[in-house]
Amino acid sequence: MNDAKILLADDDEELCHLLRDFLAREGFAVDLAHDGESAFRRAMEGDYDALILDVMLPQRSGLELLRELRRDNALPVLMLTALGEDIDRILGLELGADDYVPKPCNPREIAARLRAILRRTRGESEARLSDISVGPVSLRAASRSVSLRGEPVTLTGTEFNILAILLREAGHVVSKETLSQDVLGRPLGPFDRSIDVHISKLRRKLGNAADGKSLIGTVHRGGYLFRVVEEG
Amino acid sequence: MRSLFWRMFAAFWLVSVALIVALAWSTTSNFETAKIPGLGVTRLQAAMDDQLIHTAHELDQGGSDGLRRWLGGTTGYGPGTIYVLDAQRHDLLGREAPSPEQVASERARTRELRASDGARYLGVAVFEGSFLKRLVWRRPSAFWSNIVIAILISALASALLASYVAAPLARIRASARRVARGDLSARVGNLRYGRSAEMLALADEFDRMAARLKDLVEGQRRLIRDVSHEMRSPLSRLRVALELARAQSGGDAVTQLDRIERETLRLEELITQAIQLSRMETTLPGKVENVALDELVADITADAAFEAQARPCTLQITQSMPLAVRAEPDLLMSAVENVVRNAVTYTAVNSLIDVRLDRVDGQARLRVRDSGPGVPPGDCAHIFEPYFRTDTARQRSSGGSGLGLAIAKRAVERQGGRIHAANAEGGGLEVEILLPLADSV
Repeated sequence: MNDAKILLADDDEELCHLLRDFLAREGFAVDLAHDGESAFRRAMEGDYDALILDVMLPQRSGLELLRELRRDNALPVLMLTALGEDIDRILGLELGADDYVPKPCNPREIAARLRAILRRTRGESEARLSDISVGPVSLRAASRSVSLRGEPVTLTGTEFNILAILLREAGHVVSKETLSQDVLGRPLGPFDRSIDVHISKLRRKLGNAADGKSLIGTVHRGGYLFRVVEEG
Repeated sequence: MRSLFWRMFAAFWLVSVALIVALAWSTTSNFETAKIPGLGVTRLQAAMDDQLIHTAHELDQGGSDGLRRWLGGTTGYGPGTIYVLDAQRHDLLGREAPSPEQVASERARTRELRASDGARYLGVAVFEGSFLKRLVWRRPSAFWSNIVIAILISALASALLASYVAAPLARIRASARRVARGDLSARVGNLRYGRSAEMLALADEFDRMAARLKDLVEGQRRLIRDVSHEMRSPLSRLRVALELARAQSGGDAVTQLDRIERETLRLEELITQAIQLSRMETTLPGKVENVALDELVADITADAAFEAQARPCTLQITQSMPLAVRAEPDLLMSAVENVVRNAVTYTAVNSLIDVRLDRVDGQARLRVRDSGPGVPPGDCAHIFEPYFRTDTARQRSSGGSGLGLAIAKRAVERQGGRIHAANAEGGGLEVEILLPLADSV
């Protein structure tokens, strides 16, 4: 866990240096990028464990960078969104960010979220994971990969974890609170759309079941469930 | 707007009808009383003299029988009547003869008539004395249709004139009302009707004023927004530096660092709220959803219970029912949250805050009542203004950003609702929020 390599992309250089110092004390090795272009290049080339990405970056905005990155890269991403810019938060999650922290933020919170993301994507909870197949979806714990009717599906770490929980409880409702607590490591706030956004992305990637409805069902005010439907 | 038109129309029409009557009166009065220059008789008298001359002519031509026929044909129309009296002062047609006073008046003329058989008569032309009686009495039917046509024409003219004045005024007024409601983009624009120079100038001045107002207000909002945005960067650095200082000081300055953190958080809260407020004032409404108000209120009350413990006071929902409203969920939440937090801030220590949700007149009604000092009655509307504090609130330095209720008001009004505050009976302030219900309920 220690000395995870982190890329921090933020155009506020002074803040970057301060954060690097702070995160170093918390056991992270931090590299800096101050514009979207170089951040993207380094994220693609470098061997990083996670990316802290500010939404507002010169040359190439954080959201644009994220979209590019997510084409073929599952690098865990923690977004820094400007306080009160809720739309950025939703968009960021929509584009595949694993979590977000509003700015100005408590650096301890950044460290905590970072650890939570790394724990999830490094598969430290792998012990609880086992290979599961439900309907058309198969999940392989060891490779952290998912296939749909034999075809591989690219999921972000957060999406993978949500799907893992839903598959384990297939046929039963999992509350949004549980998902938020287990996957994001924090309680569900009022009007917190993070889980819903991740779910809607999962639905898009997994497509529909044989009966034409989504594999993941919504239970109003309850949560979500993975529907057990026989493939016809 | 319509009432302005109708009022002006009625005024113009009344004036024009009065004018018609006055004109009629003045011409007839001129006809009756003004003497023809050089003759010493009025036009009325001259006309009556002419009638009598004609009467004499008829008598001369047709004798008394012919005169009788002719007289019979003339009687019954108009305000003038010709009598032909014989030596016994009996009318030739047997009508009641005019009295000697009538005959002697200014409104009667006489003439000696002599028939070819030597019979002598007295021709008397009498003109009805009362103006009103003359106006309505024994008119030919064409007279009334003329009156109706005149009144209709004057009505048409009045309507045109009224709309010429009322239409542009109504437009300017509608624009002014929109500006007053906060829509600073409202303009009069091109006037289609009533393009008089004064109205065009007025509309133009109004538009210029509205544009200037918009510039000023937007400039101010932009300034607030930009200042708030700019303050976030140093704040971010400050918070990281603070954590570094905490780590490096090794616990020597914990009290001071805690204090710095508290003040930083407070600054952050102020900025967040200023941004939130300016966003609500500058952006268009976002996505509207059906929101379960009762659940939202329950969630917020549960969250605020933590702050309530610190005061300490008790938050209690004493009345609730399932109600769905159409709203932007996050804004509605911040509205309710700010009202509840305001109550927690100002209620007396160890007192009760009463939250009630019900339905009234097809609207959802949320009432939050604290047990604090209330506000001076004149301040009830002002507490929703940004940074407004009552004198008591100022003295207590109760914390808070001074924007909470302003945000609540903007947020509620954006959802088409209303918010107001009043001192409750038995003390304390009660804030009431009214919201339109979702259609599906």
